[in-house]
Amino acid sequence: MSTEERIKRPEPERTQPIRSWSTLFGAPEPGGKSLQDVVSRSVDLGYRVVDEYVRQGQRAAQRLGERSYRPENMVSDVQELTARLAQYASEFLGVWFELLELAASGSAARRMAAANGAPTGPAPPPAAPAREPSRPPRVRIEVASAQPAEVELDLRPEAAGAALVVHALRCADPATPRMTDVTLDLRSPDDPLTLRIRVPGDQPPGVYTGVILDERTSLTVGTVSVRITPGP
Amino acid sequence: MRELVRLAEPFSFPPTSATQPSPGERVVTPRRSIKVAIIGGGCAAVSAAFELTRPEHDGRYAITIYQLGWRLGGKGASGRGPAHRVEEHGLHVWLGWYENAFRLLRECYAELDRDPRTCPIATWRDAFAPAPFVGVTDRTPDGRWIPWNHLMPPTEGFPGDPPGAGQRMGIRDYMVRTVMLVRTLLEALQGRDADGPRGSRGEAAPEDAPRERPRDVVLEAVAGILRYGELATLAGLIQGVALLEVIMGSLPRYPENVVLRFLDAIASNARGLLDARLEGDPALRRVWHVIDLTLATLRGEIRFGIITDPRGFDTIDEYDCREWLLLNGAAQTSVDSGFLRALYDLGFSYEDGDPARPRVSAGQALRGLVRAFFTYRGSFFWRMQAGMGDVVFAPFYEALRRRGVRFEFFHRLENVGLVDPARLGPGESPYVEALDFDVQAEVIGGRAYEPLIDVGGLPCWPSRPDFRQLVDGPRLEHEGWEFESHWDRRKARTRRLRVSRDFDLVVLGVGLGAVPHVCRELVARDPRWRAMLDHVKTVATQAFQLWMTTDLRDLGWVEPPITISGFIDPFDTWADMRHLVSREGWAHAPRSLAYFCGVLADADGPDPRDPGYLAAQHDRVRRNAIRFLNRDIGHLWPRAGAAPGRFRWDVLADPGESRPDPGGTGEARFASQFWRANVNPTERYTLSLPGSSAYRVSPLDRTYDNLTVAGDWTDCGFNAGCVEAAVMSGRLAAHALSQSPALEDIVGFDHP
Repeated sequence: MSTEERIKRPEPERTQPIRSWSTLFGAPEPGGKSLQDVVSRSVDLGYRVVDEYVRQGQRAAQRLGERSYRPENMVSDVQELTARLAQYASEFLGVWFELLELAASGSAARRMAAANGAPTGPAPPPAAPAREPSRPPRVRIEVASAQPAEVELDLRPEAAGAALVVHALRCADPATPRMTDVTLDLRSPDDPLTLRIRVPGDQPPGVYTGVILDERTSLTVGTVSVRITPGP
Repeated sequence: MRELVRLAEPFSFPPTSATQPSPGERVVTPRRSIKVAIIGGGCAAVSAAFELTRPEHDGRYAITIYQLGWRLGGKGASGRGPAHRVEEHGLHVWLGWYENAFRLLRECYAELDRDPRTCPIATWRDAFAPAPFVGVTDRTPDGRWIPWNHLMPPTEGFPGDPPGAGQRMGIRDYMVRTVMLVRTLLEALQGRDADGPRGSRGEAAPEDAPRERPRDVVLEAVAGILRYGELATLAGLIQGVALLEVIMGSLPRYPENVVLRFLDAIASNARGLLDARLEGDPALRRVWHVIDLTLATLRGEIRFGIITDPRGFDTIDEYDCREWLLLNGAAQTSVDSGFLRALYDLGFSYEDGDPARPRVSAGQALRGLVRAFFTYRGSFFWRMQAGMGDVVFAPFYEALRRRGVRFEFFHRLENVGLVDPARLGPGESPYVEALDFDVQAEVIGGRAYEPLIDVGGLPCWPSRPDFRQLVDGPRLEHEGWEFESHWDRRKARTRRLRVSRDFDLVVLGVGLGAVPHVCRELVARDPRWRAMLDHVKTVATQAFQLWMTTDLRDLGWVEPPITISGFIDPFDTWADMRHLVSREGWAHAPRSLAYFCGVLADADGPDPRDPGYLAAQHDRVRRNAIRFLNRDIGHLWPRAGAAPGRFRWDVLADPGESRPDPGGTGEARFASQFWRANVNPTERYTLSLPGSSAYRVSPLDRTYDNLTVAGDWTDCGFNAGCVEAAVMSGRLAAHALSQSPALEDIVGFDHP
């Protein structure tokens, strides 16, 4: 049968949903005419930056899949990515410091208002007694890997004394298999915590990250990150 | 039961030839007709046909629907049995967020323009009624099962209304709504707490809380609350949640760690406040379960980056919902609560039908929950006012026939034949070359089979075929031909359809359970299809219906009509369907009608290859139902027992009561009721197992350039077994063939 005689389906414009659109009914309306709800408006404003990051990430991923992608493109993309991450870190830290400042100034303002005899509203209930600042636990890291591997561990003070569990480590690309052979052991309170990571021989190079949780509260108390680079 | 079925006269369509439309029907003479074979007659297939025959296409697509047996409907097929009672595959309720399903059905009714003077269900509003009363059951420590009933408030509009009326929901908006739900629940607790500091409520009425406060003000408030322990009272908690609402509305402006800390502080304070009071207060315990699950969900949405991940809720598709909630701090008791059990029950989410293996994708479950709770229009549930076949498939059948669609009943697909790869031209995609059918029965005179009957002016599907229209009909009836049984392979002849001659394009709209049997060649050749069958699983279900001569109040149920889930296996879901009795044809109308359903474990019973498998499974359901009525129903209907462990069998209404040998006494009387095991491959329910979404094949996939797929088992944007998913898939299949409707017009396809 010749291909000319046969009727075929048209080429699809796309084959997957665009789940990052924030509307139930598909593409956002131009001009945001129906964004009357203040929540939606503030949400859209607040998310502009993050959406831009997502779009850039998608564009980079798409380019990586193109046959015409060249090493010089990669260099420029990595530079762009680094700049973006630096910008993000800077914004994040800025906000964090701002919070600390606010927390301090808030309490200072209360103290000052009280000293001046200004009305301060109902007295707050007594704060919980401050705990002794705790230090992150000592950690021993054991890595079994046929490929070069760098491990970065970030444990917060809340991890001290808690029973910890670590999630499987994931790569940004969901199609990449996870690293599941990752454990955290504490033989006795006097021993250091032992983080064991076994990297399968066929694990694709990349950066794999996972969170460390307090088993009792399920709260995040740290992160672990493993960078696998191609062997010589 | 079968001998009691009396078929009414076929519904009054003029007799037509199988190949020529009748004079009364619209003759479609397209400029250049594209022949489309649609295989299957469920929601997805019918939706595809409805889209492809829209007037806008100007008759471009000549559609033929090939259907096993005598009726459309797939898993939603129903029939009229003795006393013209409605007999379903199970319980079907439509949810208020089924935008695509309602939209198409409303268009269908509008197009039919039925005369309300002669047809009791003339419009879609006649066809559906709001059902806002829902419930779940919880088991108490002393072993009792207590229903928790709730009236879901009506919302603006109706499902299927034109879009744009406040339906712009993204994950961030859902999070705000979720926090509002927590606040509402806490306020309800404050209202019932006599010692609660009610006065504080007016100080900063949360509902009036401005949502656009400067960020520094919000952060200062958060810091203050955390520093001074202001969450230690219920009033403080409510204020804290109101603040959280503001934060969720513009989440990226706030550091993730701060938000998580604030959430955790709220959760631990709420737990501390309520924990001591939960033991003796079941109502409080239920509210706490919802609050706890909700806070865990919020925490997980932030922690797993769902709000920024372009995959939306699919980010957590690989997790089981319960596992994911526990991972994010939900208490085990909350995860085991009736609220969450009902979520699993309503989706039959038990792998291999095993109640000990509850599994559903966390991403799909959350997507379903937010759609169900935050986007429903009009009513949370909508109840059909007759059988699903009568209310949905008969109107579609009528409308499609008017549009010139041909129906070939009694066609059982046996194989989808692919072209030999060696014959493909350079760059040519593989395609379907032939479709092989068993023709189960021939219609006398080569006419089209007339499938509908008239029940009080309403076109309905019968529970049995009309053998009078079939060649050798009396013999087939006498020999007990089971046209819908996978195990009855008898046929009149075989038929092969060839590409270009008999069809150009194919919509495969069969149930997933049938795919291994009817697409053997496709599955053998294509690893993607094999992977799909390995990962996207189905489950058998069971159901029974009770007609009773007494009303439910006499049995101890005093609440309004309800749909309740999370009850005892194997029939964990019950719906009070008393409203249907008036649509049936009883000489002495029963006073109540109850539907029950649940999963049916695959592990039990004989080998599925055994010809007696179907009958054995039906009998298994009968035994399950009798045991359930004797042992369990008393938890819901406390006066349903004649004695401990014995149901009041005498209350069952028997449609054959006037026969010389009426239904008998005691348990034997159950034989007069209706029950079924949905074990035929096409009837099996599609599961949303963790990690399975990625293996689904999309209707938009173009690996085979003249084939698309349709069904709730496809990758259709809402990957779960339900009417809405099937309709979305059918619309996508139509888009794949015709580029219409636009993808943006398929509500929820691009939903996070």
